Amino acid sequence: MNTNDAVKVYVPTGGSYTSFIESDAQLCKPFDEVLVDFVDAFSRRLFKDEMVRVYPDLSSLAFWMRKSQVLKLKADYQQQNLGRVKVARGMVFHVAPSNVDTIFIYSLFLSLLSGNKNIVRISSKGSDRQGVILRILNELLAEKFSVLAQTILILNYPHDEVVTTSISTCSDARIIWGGDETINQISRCLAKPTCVDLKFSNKYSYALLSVKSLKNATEDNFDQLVINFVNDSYWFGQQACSSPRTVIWLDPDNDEDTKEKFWGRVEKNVAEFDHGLETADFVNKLFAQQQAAIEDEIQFIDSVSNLVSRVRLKNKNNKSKALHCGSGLFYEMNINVLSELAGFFARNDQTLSYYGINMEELKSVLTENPTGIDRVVPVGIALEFSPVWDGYDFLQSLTREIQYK
Amino acid sequence: MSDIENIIDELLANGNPYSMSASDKKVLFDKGLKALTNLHYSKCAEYRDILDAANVNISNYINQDVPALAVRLFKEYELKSIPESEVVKVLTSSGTTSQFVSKIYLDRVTSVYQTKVLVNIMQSFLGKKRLPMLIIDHPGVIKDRSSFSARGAGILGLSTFGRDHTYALDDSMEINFEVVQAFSKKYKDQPVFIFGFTFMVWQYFIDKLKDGKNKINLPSGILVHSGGWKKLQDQSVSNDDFKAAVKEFVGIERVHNFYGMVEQVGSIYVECEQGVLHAPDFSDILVRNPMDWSECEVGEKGIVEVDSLLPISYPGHKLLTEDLGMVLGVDDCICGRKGKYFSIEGRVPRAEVRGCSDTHETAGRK
Repeated sequence: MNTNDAVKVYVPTGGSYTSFIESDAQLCKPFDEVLVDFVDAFSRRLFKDEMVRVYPDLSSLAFWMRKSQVLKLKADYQQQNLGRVKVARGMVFHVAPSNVDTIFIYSLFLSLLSGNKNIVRISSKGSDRQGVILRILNELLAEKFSVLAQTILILNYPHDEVVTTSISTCSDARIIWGGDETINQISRCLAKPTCVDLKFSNKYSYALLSVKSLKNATEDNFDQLVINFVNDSYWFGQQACSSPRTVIWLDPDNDEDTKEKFWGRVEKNVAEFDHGLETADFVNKLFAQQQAAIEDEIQFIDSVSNLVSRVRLKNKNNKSKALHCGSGLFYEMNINVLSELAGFFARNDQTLSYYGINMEELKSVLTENPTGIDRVVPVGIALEFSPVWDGYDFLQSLTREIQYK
Repeated sequence: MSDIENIIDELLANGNPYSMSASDKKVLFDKGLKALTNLHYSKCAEYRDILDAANVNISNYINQDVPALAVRLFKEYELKSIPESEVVKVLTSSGTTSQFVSKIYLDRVTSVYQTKVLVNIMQSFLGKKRLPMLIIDHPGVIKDRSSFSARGAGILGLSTFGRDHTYALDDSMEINFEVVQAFSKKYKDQPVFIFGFTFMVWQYFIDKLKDGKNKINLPSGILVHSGGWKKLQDQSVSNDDFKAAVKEFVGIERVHNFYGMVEQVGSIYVECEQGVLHAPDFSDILVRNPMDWSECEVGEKGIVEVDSLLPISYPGHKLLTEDLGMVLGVDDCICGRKGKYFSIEGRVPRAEVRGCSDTHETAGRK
């Protein structure tokens, strides 16, 4: 079988990857008007789509791409690059992850807004949410924005180094999302010598909660925190890299009652949440917990059901972090003061979502010995995508500077 | 001799492996499982770690406090409660669907009990006399005697009930008609024992007889088979279809499936004349609710936990399988056997792997 036969193009309708690669369509300027209009049109159409009622997170995606937001991005970008000349890199190859089925659209749009041409390899698994996005893109490219049909190609092919290499050798940047194995596989394929790679590998995330602040919170605030925490943790079955997996309690008083209250409400909230956890997830979780018991010094803490599984770490040594399977499994550790976190995090630790924490103090702890953590955000927006991700600034990385002296 | 050995010996001496009513069995299992839990806690570090993490106070606990081990742990760790020098046999799962295989370490005592208990249970269906035995497999499957696949161990274990062991297939998995026809002719007027793995019996035996070119007739045969229905379910073959085909093409009316696993060889669950699986006195099943691991009601589907009194050399006396099942009743099956009877409803469907997150699935890989 010819390898090209295995390449399935989703966007644009009737597109072909060989002719896409060979086309010499001109690059746009960063934030060119047609690009901003395109993203805006996408956002409007997505907002109005009836599937938004079924998948409310699509509306937060649309919200993220609304025109005022894009114009703000543009303003910030121009502010940062005052007096400099920045241009698109050229062709960008995106390898999208399968665990968060909508993330490719952020990656694509940020690159598009930078003026680049894009090839996106999405997961073959497909999903309703993904389907909506692809449909709208196709509609727009067939109608008002046919001028951009040469700048976006979305496809899938089974792993094949020949295809990956043929795309890579015409790419000026590669954005590789995935497990470490995927990243290594793609990186092994030769690319243009001038190509830059942005790698988004397996990451691990935390919530840092002050027990004292929780204890003193009003009932409303307490419940809101619980809702936010559940959103962060259960939206993608705790499989998203930014979902907290370890809860660090700032708790010099050893206040177990407040923690019990917190988990009790989390459990109640999850039960009413569309968590999507099924039998196999609970079986996997039991296995992960028992493995953790062998690898680390831990203690299981009772909960009402398997929706929430609590594991107390008796010390900071957490080898079984890598065995974490998501699905509502939480490691817990206590600290008395924030300075205990100096040098604690690893380079693959990504998000620290916080509640009731003194930010200045935390900042100084994390920058003093910067071993890990790429994002520090309030509980509730752990999953919110940002143009600065895993330590990369998308817009800066996907444009290059021409220096004039 | 230890408590647990005394318990098994008494059960063996009893003769009928389906004699205990629920209340007697509870008393026995409370004692027996506790003896095993204590043993493995003191001898197996990994097992101790898990019980400690689960807050089991080993000097004061009840069996309900003891978590069942996830059966997958045997693929990841070498779990045993004996020194290396006492290992006489290592059983492994066939491992066709996973890159890892279970490794089960047996000492002499455990190995002997596995065989004795299997004999005890099978005699309830085959009688005490050794029967001429036809094995629906090829002879190569039992060649290496120190490290057995589940298939090899199963065949060897059940071979004790037979004599004149005859392999129905040759090394290229074709029916050896000459040999099988000679066997059926020689024993046409007496009961014979036929054993094979469910899928092998279907694919390499029954299926090959469907064209009617070569006939095999074993009307006095008792077919015992095991090994899981997954592959047959994929072909939409039910237990009833299987039995009907066996009757049509080989003339066998007495067919007994059994449920067992390499992690608990010996104390198997055999299908009775009524077509349901039975827990013998040596082992028990519990069906658990995946939401909170509580025990399901009779007739409620859940995840199967298997408890067995035999695992002395490794901590496999209380295991959470990845099979779904349902208890159908206790002590009151029409066949007269005491104990729980149940059905297996397939495997837990594999969870969608949403996790980090290999997008780059290799062509052809499952």
